[in-house]
Amino acid sequence: MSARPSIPRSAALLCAAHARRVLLRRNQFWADGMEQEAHHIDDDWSALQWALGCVFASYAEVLKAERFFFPFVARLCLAAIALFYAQQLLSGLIAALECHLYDLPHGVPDPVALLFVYRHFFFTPVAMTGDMCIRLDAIHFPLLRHAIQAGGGSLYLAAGLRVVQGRASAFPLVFGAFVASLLAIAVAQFIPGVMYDNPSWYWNHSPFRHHTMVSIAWNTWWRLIVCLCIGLVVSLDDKPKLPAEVITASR
Amino acid sequence: MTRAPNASRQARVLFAEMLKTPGKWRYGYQLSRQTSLLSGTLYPLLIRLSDQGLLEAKWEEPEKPGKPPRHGYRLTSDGVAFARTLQKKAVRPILRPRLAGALS
Repeated sequence: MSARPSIPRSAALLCAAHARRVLLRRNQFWADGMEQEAHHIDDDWSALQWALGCVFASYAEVLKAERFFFPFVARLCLAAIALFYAQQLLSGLIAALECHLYDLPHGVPDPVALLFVYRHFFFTPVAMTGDMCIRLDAIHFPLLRHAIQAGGGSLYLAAGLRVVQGRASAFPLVFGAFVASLLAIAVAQFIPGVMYDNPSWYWNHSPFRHHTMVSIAWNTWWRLIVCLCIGLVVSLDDKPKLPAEVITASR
Repeated sequence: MTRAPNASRQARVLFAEMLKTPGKWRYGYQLSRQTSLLSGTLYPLLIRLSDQGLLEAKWEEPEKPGKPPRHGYRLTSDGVAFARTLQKKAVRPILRPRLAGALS
């Protein structure tokens, strides 16, 4: 039975393997050579130092050779936006829990808590009953809309992860999420008392009903732009991966 | 003004070390110890020199049993010629521009 490697040795081997994976995009010969050299260093800490340098070198090579930096940053930004959209859709799913926590039918006396739940809920028109005590009634959404929201949010989540990986499959996922968010808006139109049908829903009691629709149209437009940007970036950056047997044969 | 290719201090140190025994195959970690270059500096340099045909690399069988094969490196004939040229230039006395102008 072989002795268990020390922590610095394990970290060194992990770093060396990571350096190999990164550099594999450019040059398999050097990627393998870099990784295997770490196995020949007897001192554990020296091996770790060597492997960390290899990680740096592999990233430097990939950045230099493949003009990797811009697509990488663009992917990260787009993934962050996709995750934000996912959060927007999925946060509606915790509405029931929040209703219970804040005991909404009996009013919410704390303005901070009120602000919190207000941002996560759809409510009937605000009824002021005194300075601090406000009574709110949550609107009950049909299960269909929750399902659409859950689906859309999950698709945005999956799209965000695929964008980070630079896979072209991110585009159909984000497009599906975009369609789901449109469907959720459309379904909401048929719910009586929901915000799109109720100009006094806002805190500021805006008399302009179209103001809400303009906001929705604006958000939808940006979602479409993000969707197209993701499609563009991943189609430019989707690189053919080496088959597993080629990688195995080289080792 | 752009710098001459492969004329950085690190490249000079590497060439000088490899020129000591030009025909001998060296290993990455061995070169790192001998030149005091860290792997993050050494590997990009080795890759660049290899791409330029100044360095050759090949898989070498391990000296110790149970270890995987490792890369061996040595200068090509072009690499040796380039290293010698670089060495001659390095030997030439370096004068500050103002001092050089005064002397000429």
